Amino acid sequence: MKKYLFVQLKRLLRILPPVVLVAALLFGCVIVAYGAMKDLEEDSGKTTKFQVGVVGTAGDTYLQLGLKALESLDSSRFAVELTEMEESEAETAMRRGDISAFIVIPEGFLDAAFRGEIIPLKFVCSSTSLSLVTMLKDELTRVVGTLLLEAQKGSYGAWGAMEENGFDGNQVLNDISIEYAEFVFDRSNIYRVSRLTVFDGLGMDGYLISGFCIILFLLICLTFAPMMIHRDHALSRMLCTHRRPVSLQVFCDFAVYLLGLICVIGIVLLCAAVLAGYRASLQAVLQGLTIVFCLGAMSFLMYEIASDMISGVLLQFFLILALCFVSGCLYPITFFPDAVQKLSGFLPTGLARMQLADSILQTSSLDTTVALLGYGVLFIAGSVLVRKLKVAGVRG
Amino acid sequence: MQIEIKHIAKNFKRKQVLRDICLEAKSGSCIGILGANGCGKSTLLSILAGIQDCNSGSFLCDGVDLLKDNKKRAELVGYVPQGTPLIEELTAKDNLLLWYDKKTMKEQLSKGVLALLGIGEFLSVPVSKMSGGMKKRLSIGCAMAKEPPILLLDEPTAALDLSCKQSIGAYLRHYKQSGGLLLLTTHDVMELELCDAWYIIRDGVLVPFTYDGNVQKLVESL
Repeated sequence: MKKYLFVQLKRLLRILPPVVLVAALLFGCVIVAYGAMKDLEEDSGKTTKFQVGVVGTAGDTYLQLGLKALESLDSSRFAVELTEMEESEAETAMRRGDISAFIVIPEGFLDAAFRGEIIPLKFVCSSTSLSLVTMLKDELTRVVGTLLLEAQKGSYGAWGAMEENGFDGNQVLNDISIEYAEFVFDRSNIYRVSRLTVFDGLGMDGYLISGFCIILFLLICLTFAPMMIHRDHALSRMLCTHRRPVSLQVFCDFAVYLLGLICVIGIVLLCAAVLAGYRASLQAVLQGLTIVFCLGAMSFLMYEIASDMISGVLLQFFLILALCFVSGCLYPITFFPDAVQKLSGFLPTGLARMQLADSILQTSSLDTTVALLGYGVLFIAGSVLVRKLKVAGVRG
Repeated sequence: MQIEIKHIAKNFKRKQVLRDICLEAKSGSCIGILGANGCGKSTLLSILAGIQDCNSGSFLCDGVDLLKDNKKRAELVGYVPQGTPLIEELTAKDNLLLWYDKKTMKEQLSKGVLALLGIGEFLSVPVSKMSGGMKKRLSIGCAMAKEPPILLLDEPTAALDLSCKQSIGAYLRHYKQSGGLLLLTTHDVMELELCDAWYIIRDGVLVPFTYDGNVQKLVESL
């Protein structure tokens, strides 16, 4: 098999320059896409002002005062605009998308608050609460309710105490309300905490980078299509007659393919190191190699299954899209239902994303590494089986 | 040298493609195997080449069962499958180096099988830029690396133009005359003329047929 390996290496050298060129182009596209997403995120952060409807406050000066205080308090970038309206009006406005949510303050709310009791507020928000922005809107809507409730309770409590002790509480009631509200809720801290727990311990930047890296890697695998897709298995058949079994052929082919992938990834990482000053540790390199091994083997199996160039490229492309989507490489996994999140942890792409997150955070997980290697071995075994079936499948 | 194919049978799940294939041939002869598409011609050749197993039967060469002795089979049997057993990105020379060592390749190019096939003319041409005829000549050249006395060819000149058919036919005639044994599957009249004996696979059995140039009679027999 030495000759076969040598010839395959020669073949790899022939196709490597265009593959590297395409990979560089892909890398550039991914950088641009990442930059655009970051800009979008920053822009939306600067300009987003959530419209929230408030129902049931008409005629109560204290509640209106509370709302005004809330609006003036809101110095964070997620500014909120509260609008008083009727419930039917709020429903229509929400369906039209004019407001993000509305809060219904029930009748008797103030009296109950005055007595120190809590009547739950009703929050109505859109059902499509799976995006980051909507999650923040939900959070903010909850905040408004808490703020109103707690501020009013505190304010009325203080006012009652002052009245009982012979003081005129009206003068300081407004100030107390505002200070109470500030004390009750530190919005920016709550927001930060939720971000940290959502993305495998990574910030949004790290998460996006790890997801894009997985997509980029799989797209690089796609660039090897002209070399990897066998139009027919005539060569394999001829090699079999010369006592070069299918299993050895597959191992040789995979070894060469893996080497090609490592070369291309190496060049891309080198560019990243020069451009962004990124220096990978040995552990990160080893973790990266397990990802290359597993996803490379998966892509190799797809090439074995494909019967021609078009089906091969389409199969790979749609598989990349589907797996990356379900594994949270295109979109944060925490916004998917629990079942999908669990499934992602078992998928090769999901495991690869977790491994990449580990390498970014400089941690390691033996389970993930073993699972990736196990998947890789399974994919290679599958490739041997597929090629054996194809080589033996001569009819006519 | 004499070959004997005895009672070869092959099933694909429940379908019996080859039932009882029996054949005898001596060196210096060419056997043509005919039959309708899907009748089992290629399957028979791939069994004889050791690519797939048969359910029963033997392929004897001077008493040695080549279906059991892989080493001997690799020495004695050359096989040119349908399709292109070549690496498209590489040149003819690179492809030949997969089968030949450098020294033998040079010798064969100057006065051996590769010279007879005229491969020297396109030695540095990448396979992707070759014509169908060049590819087939190169494929045969690769299969002949160990100069096997038995050559199995699966429709060797299918989809080639007349001059290519002629040049490949000339080489095969030379191979036969120099003592080689050819076993080829074909649908081609020019190849039929090369053969000394003809068989049709019908219902999984080899049926002898005498080809006298009457194509109509042949078509009716299939």
